[in-house]
Amino acid sequence: MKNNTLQENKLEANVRCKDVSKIYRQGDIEVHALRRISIEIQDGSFVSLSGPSGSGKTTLLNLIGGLDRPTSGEIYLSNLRIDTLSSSELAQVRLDNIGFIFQAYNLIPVLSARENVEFVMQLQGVNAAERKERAYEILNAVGLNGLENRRPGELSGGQQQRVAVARAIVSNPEIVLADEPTANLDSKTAKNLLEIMLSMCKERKVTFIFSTHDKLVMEYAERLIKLHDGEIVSDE
Amino acid sequence: MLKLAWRNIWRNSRRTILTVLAIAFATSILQFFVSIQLKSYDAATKSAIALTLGQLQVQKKGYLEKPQIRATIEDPLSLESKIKSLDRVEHTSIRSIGFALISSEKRSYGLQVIGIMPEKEKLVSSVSGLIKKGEYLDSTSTNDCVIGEILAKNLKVDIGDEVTILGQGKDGSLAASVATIRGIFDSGTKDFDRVTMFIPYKTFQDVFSMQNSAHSIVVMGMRLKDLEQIQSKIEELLKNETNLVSLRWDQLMPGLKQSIELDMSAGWIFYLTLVLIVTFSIVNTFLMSVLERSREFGIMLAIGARTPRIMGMVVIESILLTLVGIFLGVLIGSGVITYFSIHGFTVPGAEEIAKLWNLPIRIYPELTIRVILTAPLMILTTTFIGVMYPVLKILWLKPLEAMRAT
Amino acid sequence: MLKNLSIIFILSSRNVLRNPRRSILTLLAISFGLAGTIVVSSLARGLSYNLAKDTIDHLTGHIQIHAENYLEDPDVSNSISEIPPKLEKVMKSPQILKKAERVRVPGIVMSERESYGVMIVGINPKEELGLSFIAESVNEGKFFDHDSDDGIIIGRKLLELLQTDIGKRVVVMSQDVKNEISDKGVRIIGVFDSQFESTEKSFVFLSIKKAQGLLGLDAKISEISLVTKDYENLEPTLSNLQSSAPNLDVRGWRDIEKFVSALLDIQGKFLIFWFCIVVIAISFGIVNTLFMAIYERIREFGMLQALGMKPIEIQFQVLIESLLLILIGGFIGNILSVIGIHLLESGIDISAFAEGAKRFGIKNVIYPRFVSHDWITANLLVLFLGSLSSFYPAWRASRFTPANAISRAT
Repeated sequence: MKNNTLQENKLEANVRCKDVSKIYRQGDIEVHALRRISIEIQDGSFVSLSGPSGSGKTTLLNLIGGLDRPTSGEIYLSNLRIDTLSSSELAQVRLDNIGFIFQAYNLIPVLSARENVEFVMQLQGVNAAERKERAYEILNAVGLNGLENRRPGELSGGQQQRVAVARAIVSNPEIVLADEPTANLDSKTAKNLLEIMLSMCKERKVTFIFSTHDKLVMEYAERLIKLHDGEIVSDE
Repeated sequence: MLKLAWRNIWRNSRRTILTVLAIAFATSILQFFVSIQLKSYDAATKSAIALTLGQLQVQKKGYLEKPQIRATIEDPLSLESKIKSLDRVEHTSIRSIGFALISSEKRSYGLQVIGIMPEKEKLVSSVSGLIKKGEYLDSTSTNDCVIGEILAKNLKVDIGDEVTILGQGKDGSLAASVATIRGIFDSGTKDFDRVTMFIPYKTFQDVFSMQNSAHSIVVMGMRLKDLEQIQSKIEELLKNETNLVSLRWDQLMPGLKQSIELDMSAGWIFYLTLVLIVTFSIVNTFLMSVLERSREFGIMLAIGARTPRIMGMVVIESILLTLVGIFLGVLIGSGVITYFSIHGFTVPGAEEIAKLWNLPIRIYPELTIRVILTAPLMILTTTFIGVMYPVLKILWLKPLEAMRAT
Repeated sequence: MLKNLSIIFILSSRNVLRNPRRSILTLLAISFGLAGTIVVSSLARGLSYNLAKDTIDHLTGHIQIHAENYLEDPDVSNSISEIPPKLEKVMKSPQILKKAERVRVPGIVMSERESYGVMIVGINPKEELGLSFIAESVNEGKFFDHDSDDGIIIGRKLLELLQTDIGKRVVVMSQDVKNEISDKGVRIIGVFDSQFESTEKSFVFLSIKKAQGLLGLDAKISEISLVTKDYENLEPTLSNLQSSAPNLDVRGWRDIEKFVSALLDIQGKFLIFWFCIVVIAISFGIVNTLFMAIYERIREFGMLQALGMKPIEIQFQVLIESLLLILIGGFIGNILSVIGIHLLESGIDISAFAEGAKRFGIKNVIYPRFVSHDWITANLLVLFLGSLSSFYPAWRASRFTPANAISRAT
């Protein structure tokens, strides 16, 4: 497999977007989701992308995560250009370097909490004993000990999101991309979740990039990038 | 409501297309099978009627079961002319039939000898057209005969050779004569070609001492459809002749009709299995769609729609979907049948079977109303019955629970 | 990719259980479809098995040996005058279970009132027992005890047609070896019944020695009928016999009873065609179910891709899901078909069509007959066409772009 080279040289988490545009077509109408965005995100940062709906924050997140391809421009993870890779190669990049946390429907419903966490490791080919050990460890770290064998349907929203965080972290990715991770949570649960993510970010030197309009998330963020109509309006 | 149902069908277009295709597939396949089947029966019936059966025969009571030479119709000519004058009767002919030992120089075989009136016989029997060698009998023939190809081979004789006929006359006297082979026919039915010899009626009457009597009056009408009518009129004629009966082709050869029925019922088992499987898959689709939409139905119930209305809508949807599939299937099926009705259709290896039924090896199926309607009606009926299950499911829907369901 | 098969398998199997109602409906469709086909085909095979068996029992046997031209011209002149010693030896091999020598020529039977053309068969009663129907079908009067008994055995229908009775005399007439008509008066000692009316009408039986006497045949015979261990696999025995008797005409029953043989062949072809049609119909159901299953999981497929699952792995997941349904459905279908065949074991009465059935020589009751290669064909077709039809939904599932799939509203 040619992806082996990627696996061997883990990337420096240095996200770089260069003149990235994304245009969706809806019938005859062109929607400019992103207009020539250039941005760099350093290793180990806790970044929030915010802006009103339709501002392009989710699109940008998807592009960085290789879930979608830009209409024009270049995207680099460290020094690897990802916008030109095949979908299979992208899958490998995501598997090795990126963790995802979504707003909802985050977990595989037919797998238990532990199996969800083990899932990515399984795809990576980690052996069973190590998988199990790491899964227990990380679930313990996010405060879910005792609930390892429950299915997502048997967990509360906050617990589900913690499983998602655990799963995103467990494979030691360079970047975790989180799309509105707190949207369905009450503020106390959300705060708890953010604490966990921040500590993971610092302990493990993982870059967290959020797309959010939750004030709470922005409070926690070290860097606030605001988007409007597909353009960056502020970066602080 | 129809419009709403139509839109609902196309809400999940892929599923609808797949279901429609399944129905269309089953419809067209069934149609094709039915067309081949009906055409084969038709051909078998027609060829049996044409060969010697005729549409109807008048015989002495009991002759069919025991064809004895003494079981005769007296004064057949006058009865024949009376039948001939009946409405819708097209052609008639008189036959005398006896059993004899036929010997050539080298071989002897026992077989049935049929005395025919050549000019009349031509109009009721296809044998005159099946002559392979030599000629058919004509009104001038006296000591000539026509025999089947297999018989000719068995007797080791050819056109112009003489054979002796040795049998028993009506009065028990010795019936002996010599006949010259004038024609050899090949009917395609082996059993017939092995045991049949035609000689002129007059000669037969002399040789077998028949006097003014014969065994059968063969009747051909215009159309097979009129047969019952013709039969009842002939029955009327026979009112005073209580020892005579009129028998339709299916009464003359009950085995043929019943073997058609047997074959048909075997066919139905196969068709029904296919229809049931397709219906199952259609009902499955509908059941899933009803379950999927229970939330929607819950909302409809909540805003005041009544259950029968929702049930009605689902029924209309299912019928619409089935009709679309059937329509497509009929189009495809009719197209295929039309193609084969021009180019013909053969089943490799079926020659032996075709021979038994005296069928042409190449079948040209026909697109008739019956062919078009059978399959659609079957599928429509089973679907309608099957779809009742998902429809009844709606009865048990409770608005609140349904709305909560995902 | 292969290393991930175990997790893919877990996902697939749990997804099958996820919507039990839908899975059960699909399993029902597959299993009933398969069971229906197998049961119906077993009935069809039962029908033709009876036909083949009856044909063989009739007088044919598995293999027949005649003089070179006898089958075209069944005349006394085409008789076997001497059985080659080599053939004699082969016929004693363990492959051959039974042997009957016969005289068989066309002739005429006359009563005082009527005469009919028949096939005169001279038999050795001991040899026919267990080989042909005749030994067990004499229901009135008696069967021959020895190969030189006097008397004639005729069919019930012929008895009726000749208007004669048991104990009365009839005249048997045929052409003898000198090409002259030879006749003989014989007493009717037995009446046989047959399921074929034509048999009752057109076969009469003499003892072989008396038949040879009538025809001036001395010890010559017309045919040898053989029964082997396996009527379906005659080839080795047949070629063995043929090479040991190069001057005789050795044929298998399929070669003699061409009509029955053709009927069986056509039926085989039809059944395979039929299997294909039914399985295609089942496949439509499978595809529909799979589509429903994947369309309600679009988000999940997006998420799986986001987590690093490759498109081909997604395809595998869907394929395994359908394969599981097919395998379980197939398994249940096979159990159902065994039950179905078992339930029908006492036979289906078709006497309503008795006359039509008689024309084909079919009995009034049909018994199902399990034919292993039909069973294998039906199963393989379900497996093969079912899986093949799953490729489309599987491919579709892998084609949802992750970004769209995730952001899609539910």
